[in-house]
Amino acid sequence: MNLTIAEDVGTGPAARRENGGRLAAVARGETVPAEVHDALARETPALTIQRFNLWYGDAQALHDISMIVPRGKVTALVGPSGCGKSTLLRSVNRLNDLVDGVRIEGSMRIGDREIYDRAVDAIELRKRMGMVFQKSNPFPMSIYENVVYPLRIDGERNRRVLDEVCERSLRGAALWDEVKDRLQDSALGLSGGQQQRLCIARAIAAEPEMLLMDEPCSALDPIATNKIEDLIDQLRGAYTILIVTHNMQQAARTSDFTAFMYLGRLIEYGPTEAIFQKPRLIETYDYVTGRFG
Amino acid sequence: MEEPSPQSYTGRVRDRRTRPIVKVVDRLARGLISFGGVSTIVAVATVCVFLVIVAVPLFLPSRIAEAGGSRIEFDRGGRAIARFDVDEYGAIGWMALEDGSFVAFECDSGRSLGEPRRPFGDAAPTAWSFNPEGADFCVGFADGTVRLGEAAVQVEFIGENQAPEPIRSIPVGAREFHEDALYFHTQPGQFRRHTFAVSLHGPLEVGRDAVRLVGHTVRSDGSVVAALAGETLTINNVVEVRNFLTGEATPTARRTDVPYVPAPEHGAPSRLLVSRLGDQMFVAWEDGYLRRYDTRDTARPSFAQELRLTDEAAGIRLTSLGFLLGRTTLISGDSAGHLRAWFTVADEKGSDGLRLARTRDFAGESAVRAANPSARARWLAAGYADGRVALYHVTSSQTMASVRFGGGAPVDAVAIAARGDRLIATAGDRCRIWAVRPGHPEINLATLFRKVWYEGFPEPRHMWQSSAGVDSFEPKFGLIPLIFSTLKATFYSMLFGLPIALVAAIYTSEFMAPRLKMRVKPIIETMASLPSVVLGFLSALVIAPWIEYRVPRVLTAFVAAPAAGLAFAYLWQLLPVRWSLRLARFRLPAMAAALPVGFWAAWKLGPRVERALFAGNLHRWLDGQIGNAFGGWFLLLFPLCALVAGFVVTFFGGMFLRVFTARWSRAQMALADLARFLLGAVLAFGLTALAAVILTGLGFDPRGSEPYHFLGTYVQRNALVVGFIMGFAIIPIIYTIGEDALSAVPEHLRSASLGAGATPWQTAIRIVIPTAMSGLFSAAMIGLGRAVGETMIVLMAAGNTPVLQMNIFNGFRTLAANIAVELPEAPAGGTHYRTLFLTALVLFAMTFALNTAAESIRLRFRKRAFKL
Repeated sequence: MNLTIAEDVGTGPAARRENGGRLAAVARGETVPAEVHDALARETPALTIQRFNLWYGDAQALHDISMIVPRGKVTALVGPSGCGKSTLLRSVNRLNDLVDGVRIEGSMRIGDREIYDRAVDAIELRKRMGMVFQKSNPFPMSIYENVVYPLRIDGERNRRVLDEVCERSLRGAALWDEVKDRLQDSALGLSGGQQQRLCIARAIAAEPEMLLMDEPCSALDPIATNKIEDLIDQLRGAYTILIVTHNMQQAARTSDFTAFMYLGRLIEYGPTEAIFQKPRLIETYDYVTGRFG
Repeated sequence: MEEPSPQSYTGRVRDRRTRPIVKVVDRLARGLISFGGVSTIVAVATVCVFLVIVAVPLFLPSRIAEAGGSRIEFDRGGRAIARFDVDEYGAIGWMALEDGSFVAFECDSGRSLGEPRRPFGDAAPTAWSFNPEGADFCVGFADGTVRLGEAAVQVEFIGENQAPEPIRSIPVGAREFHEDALYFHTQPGQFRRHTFAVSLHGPLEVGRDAVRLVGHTVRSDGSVVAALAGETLTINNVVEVRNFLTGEATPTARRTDVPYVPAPEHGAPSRLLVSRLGDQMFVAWEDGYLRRYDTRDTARPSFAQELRLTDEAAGIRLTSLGFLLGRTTLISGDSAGHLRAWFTVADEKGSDGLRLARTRDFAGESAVRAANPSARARWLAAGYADGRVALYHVTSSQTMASVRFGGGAPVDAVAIAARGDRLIATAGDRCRIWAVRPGHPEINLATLFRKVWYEGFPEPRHMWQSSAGVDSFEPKFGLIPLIFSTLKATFYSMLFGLPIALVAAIYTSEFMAPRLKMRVKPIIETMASLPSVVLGFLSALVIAPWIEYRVPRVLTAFVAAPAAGLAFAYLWQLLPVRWSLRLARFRLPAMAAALPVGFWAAWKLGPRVERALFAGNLHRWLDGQIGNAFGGWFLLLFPLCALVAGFVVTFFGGMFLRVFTARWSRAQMALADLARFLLGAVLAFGLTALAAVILTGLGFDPRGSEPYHFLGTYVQRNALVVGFIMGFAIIPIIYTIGEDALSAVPEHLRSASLGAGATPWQTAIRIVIPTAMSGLFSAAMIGLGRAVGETMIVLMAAGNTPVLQMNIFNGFRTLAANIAVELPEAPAGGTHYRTLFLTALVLFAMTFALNTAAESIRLRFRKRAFKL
């Protein structure tokens, strides 16, 4: 998807400046309602987040986030460093549980299951969501074992099933042709981009409902980035993808919806086209055009 | 104020040269660091070099050299020598001649010390018996009497005013004869006087015929004299009765006839010897035929054994027979040149339960003419018909040195000075003296590391025994028991400490809340700072006595405590999901709380187990007095069978559960899982019982005293106690290093695994532990190194018996403990002292080898972790 970013905010009809700016209000700690586009109401939610708050000890990292993640679409979370994108992402599969002193309030539902219900098994939950991290993190094992790891932990021993899943996942991650002859070699011998695609293959192998990607390309060179972006494009539709990115171009190129976050708050959320070309808020415009952040 | 240069933004002109002081400090620091590093290496190397310097003389050969002025002429008028000896300093030699005269002479000059003594008057003795390690002798006469007596060079140190007038003026270091005595001016104001004296006791009748052979020994309760008079062999218990009025001592004897049958086919009987304790009597014939008599009860002597000392070839004659130091080992020499050592060993087939066995054989080229032992060690000098004089160490079977008489004259007699530094031999009229530096002939690689046949033992064996209460004791320096013990201590302590330490490390690193971990880790590390001597006396004085009569309970606890923990974990699964998730953080503490339940069960079950497996009394069972091998095999095989059973139920049970239970509810699954666990437990017990029954049926018994017996007699301070306490001592170090290794596994790997839906346990087992394997391995190896070198705990709690047994209930003595125990009592420079330094080297070599092996394996693990 190729979008051109609006040149001049002054003529942008949807851009509004409010008294002193929203961001300043956010910085002062005031409650600012999020600007959510109507297009989202027409989507089927895969994940519904309502009034979600999160604290690391005494520091509140997420404030009153309410949003849906549409099924089968690519949703990008953008925002300056420290705005809580990664925290929000890691809250979805409860990886934040492992951090000491984390406290949450509010609700996060996948389908009709409440993620933060005490009766929900976090392990089971994570099996339904594949996660790709900022830094590629293949295990110090063979390529093959890396890919089939999610099956191994489920106790799968059938060689045929494992082989099949391995190939399918690697093909899905557009890595098959590059590694098919050295599946038993160490995964650590792959290049950075290949490693990241391997991690995506591993995530796919678990047959997740949702893919969570935490800045998957930030450590990669442009060519590797390109490949990952192509891959995301291919995965669109098959999976609900939630991607955190720093790279505006990437968000614009790959996502269907974009959420702009700032200091732990959702500022504006809408179709990517709208966010990049006709944002409703001047702050969003400033951010996506690179005026700050 | 200076204008800022166009290049400067700060307005300051920067001097771009390094300041001299920085250069100086840099150079100084570099020098200091190099110096420190090099001196550390030098210090470590010096320790090693020092150890080597002390230990190496053990392996240097003995040296022998001709002493200055050492060729003397001594005319004895062709009379045969009955006894040839030299005093402790090698200064005065003396001989008893066949006509009954005793002559003493100065070794360096040949000048005689007074007139020849003739204590028997004109009566020429017909038989002689001398004690090679004392002054006492016994002679027999033609009239059927024997006389005991003493002949020796007496050495006294006297002050200047005790010395006779003419002697006082001789310079320090010089010597002078005066009135049948030789004086040495040893240091200003001190003289050493050598005199030769012969004394006699009253005559004692042993028969009517002329005494042909006599043998004797002097014991604390009187003497034992054996004599062959005519064809009557008698053994006499001689007690001296002193007359209070005259002061005259009269020997009275209780005479017993020994069953004796002449053996003319072997020629005439030629030797008669009585062992030091008087419990054995040997009669040898000219051709080497020997009869051994059991004289433990001198009132009832009996024939015990007959054998040949020489090879059964025509013309071979027994030319010499005498005792080695201790008067237990016989040394026989024959005309074929063989010098052989014999001693009695236990043998069930012997009529008195003993058997005289040939244990050493030194082959020479010509007939043995004379042999004389050292009075302080188990080596001897032998003279041959071809003029050769050789020194042999019997126990180590070494030929220490060999010299040759000029002209190859047959050697008549040899003697070694008690200090071992002088050897004197005579051939015809000539005497020669050699200076000897025996070194450490009892030590060589074979005596250190191979089985040695020590005096009195039924077969060669590994043995360490460095000291005993009697002078004639032979130190036994076999290192194998010590090395074995070191490995045994290490094995048992690792068996106990390693799993606990690693499990604790995994738990702390992977499951414990970081805040708690910050507190727990330093506490465990503090355990390492507990002095091992405290642990040592705690184990020796508190734990060892406590365990002694609670062994079955302790052993049961090893099974019951983990089983309780596991059972609890399976029961936990039965909790409804809602509850189990809510209580998740109490799960592991609650599991830990299950352990006391296990201990309680073990306490209750212990006596029952003892009744079931060990016939109701473990100690007697271990001694092999009661019960059969079943209990022992059950005990030993249970861990192995439990592992097998665990594997079987996990593998097949898991398969079953996956296939058939896809739609089962969680509670049903938990029940199935519990059933699987119980099945596994039953299987483990069943397998063990089966294996134990089979092994018992085949006649194998794990009890005994061989190195491969894992069970045996219970000793209070044993490997089990040491395993506990030393395990406890090595836990902190393994734990700390292992935990660091686990924590060093990158967090992103953990996130990736958890993110893929793995449980923390799966993450730990599949990702964290394999990645940290090299670190965990180093942790284990460092623990191992600590256990190998640990001294105080084993010193105090292991009983320090250098036995070669794997028996977990017996003690042991490690290399390190041995050094600590014995070094204070070893005279510097002696064999014992040097051997202890050698053991230090061995210990060093062991730890070095272990560390090297460990490091190479660790590197391999690391390579695999990073490259696969």
